[in-house]
Amino acid sequence: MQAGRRLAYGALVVLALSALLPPHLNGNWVHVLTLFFMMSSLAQAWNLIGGFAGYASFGNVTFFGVGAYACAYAMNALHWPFATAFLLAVVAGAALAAVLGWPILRLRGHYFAIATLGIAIGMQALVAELPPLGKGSGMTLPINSNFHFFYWSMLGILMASIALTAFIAQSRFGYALVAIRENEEAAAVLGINAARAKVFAWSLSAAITGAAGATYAYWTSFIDPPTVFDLNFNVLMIIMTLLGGAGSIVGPTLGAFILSAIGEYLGAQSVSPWHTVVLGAIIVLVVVLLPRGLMPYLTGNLRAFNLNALRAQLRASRV
Amino acid sequence: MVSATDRHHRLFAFLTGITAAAVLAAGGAAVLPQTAAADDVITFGAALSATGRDAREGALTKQGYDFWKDYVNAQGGIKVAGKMYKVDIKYYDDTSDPATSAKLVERLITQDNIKFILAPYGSSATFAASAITEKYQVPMVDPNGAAEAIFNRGFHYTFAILSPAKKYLQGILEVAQTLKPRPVTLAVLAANDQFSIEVAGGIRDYAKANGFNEVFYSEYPPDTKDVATLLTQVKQKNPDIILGSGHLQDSLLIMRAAKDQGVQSKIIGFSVGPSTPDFITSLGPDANGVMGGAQWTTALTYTDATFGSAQRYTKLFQAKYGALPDYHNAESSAACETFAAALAKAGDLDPGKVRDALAALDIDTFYGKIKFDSRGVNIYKPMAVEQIQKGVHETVWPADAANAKPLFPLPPWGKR
Repeated sequence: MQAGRRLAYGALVVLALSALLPPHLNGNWVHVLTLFFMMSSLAQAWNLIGGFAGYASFGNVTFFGVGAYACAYAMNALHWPFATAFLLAVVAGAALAAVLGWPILRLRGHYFAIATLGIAIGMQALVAELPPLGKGSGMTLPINSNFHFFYWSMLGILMASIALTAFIAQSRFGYALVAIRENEEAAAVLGINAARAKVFAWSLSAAITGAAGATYAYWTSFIDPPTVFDLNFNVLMIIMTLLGGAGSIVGPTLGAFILSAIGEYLGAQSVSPWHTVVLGAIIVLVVVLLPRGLMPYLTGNLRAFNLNALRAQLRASRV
Repeated sequence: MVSATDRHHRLFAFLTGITAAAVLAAGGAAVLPQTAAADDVITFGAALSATGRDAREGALTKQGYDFWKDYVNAQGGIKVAGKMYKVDIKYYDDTSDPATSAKLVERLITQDNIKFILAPYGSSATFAASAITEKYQVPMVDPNGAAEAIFNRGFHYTFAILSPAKKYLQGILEVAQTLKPRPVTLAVLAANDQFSIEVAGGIRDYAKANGFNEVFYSEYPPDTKDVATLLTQVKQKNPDIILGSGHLQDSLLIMRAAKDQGVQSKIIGFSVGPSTPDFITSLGPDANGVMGGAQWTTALTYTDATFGSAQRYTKLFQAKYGALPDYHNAESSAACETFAAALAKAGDLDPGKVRDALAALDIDTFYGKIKFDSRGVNIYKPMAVEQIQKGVHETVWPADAANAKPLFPLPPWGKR
């Protein structure tokens, strides 16, 4: 984990420096990087529940949509400023995850995945029927053309999520999540309150996701259910995390960077449908050939899953 | 025996190699045809749906843009301030996603340095793109984003040449009022998205004010794959008129479900679908008798300086693509023509001046008159109604442009 944390600090430094970039970039690159920060944040958030606790959530996009709608409703109907609307979105995401997580996180494996998928689809359908939220027509938000603001906001969310992950990774809570992932019964025997740890992890994940959703809504100034509950977001969160390394600290951001770079490069080339095909093929190859993602290659931690190494690590960390 | 670590390293190298090869191949292919922008070329930009749910409509839009480009280039180009310019269009695929549309329009403006934007396909994408063109004060001409919400935000750089959404189905009820015995009861099915709800709202208001009796109204999810239960409910109400407000895929689903369940109305019509060639090829004889709101039809009698007339546009288009133009093609070509007229009027390539020229424009095109109100909506243009008769699109409304009488009432299923 030491090497992983050093990488995380390095990433935070690089990201902090990138805050200086916007005045020197054209609008296109500001846009591309803002989206990259957003997708990285979503992947970092997914990693907390999917990577650390081992619960593959196909419903995290729910919190993105709920955060976006909470922000839109607060700004549009209640005329709140963005800062408070943003806080509402964070709280709404976390609270919803806590309420849903209590029953849902008792399910394991496929059952949990399917249940979360159902929640994502159900929430989209529900929002599309609620008149105060504009039904299928969506909602508009006040226009803010200062796109640098969104760059810094998304960057802030990403840095906060990486710092949070680095903190969790060396905390009792983080080890509890890993223990749950490796063997939930054994974790319970060790005295870990698995239910509480999982719900807390999902709520943190949802808070970050909701924050990104709120910022996204204000940025695009128009949201509708298919856009913010788009399951593609969820699939991307998972693939980015897997590509970088699930359960690592900055793996999700690394994965997001690689996928965004490839997607950006291919998407910018032509209007042919081939760019999506090529991207799809790359994703398949990654999942098949790199089941543990890229992080182990960077941290020299290739044998981390070796039981002896894990034991040695745990001993060294004096949990 | 190879160790696990070695195998991982080898796979990693293999993967890196493949990725690099794919990226280089894609890059190489794209780099070759790129030439430096000459100063006698005006380049427009468009982010269109080449993939995703609106891929078909996006392709029709691109065809319309390209047809205009090739035609005017063959004529020597367009004239601005006494100088002839060739035209070019830079495209990206927005994958039918509004956020991607916005991103790519920003790329067109800030990375590719393009000053004139042709809108994406559809209301949601146009909505997203309009915020970007407004920010950069770059004019955008919109051929097929009809939701009025786009134009109620006080923007100054988006101009729509098409009729607004609420007019899409009105023509069909206008036709119905002329028929004997006059059909009265009405069922409306609407996709739950911004454009389709505006269309449905417009037609429901019109129906109420003009003595129609709405016996059924329902919204369905925009990406629905099954409308059977909806049609079951419609059948129980036995309406004279069934109107569907959605997109091409929805109209095909509703037609198939209506046939399966033997739902027999006197009129059936859709906001989007019947005008596309795909509607007839997908449904065969079952497409006969279906009405569609159309932004434009080949029978209309408008004339202009570029293509001559709607008929000549049709002939040229058919000669090039081997198919009749549908209204998406026509409105897309007309959007380009509108841009060219504004450029000529401005006599300048400055986006602000072209924007002002667009705002003051008042021209005839093969597609209809074009003049914008202060919101950027074309105030002149009426909608037409097409009906498919014997596998061919016939114009049945407005009466002065009609080339066929309405087929009424609809023959029973199996005899269409």
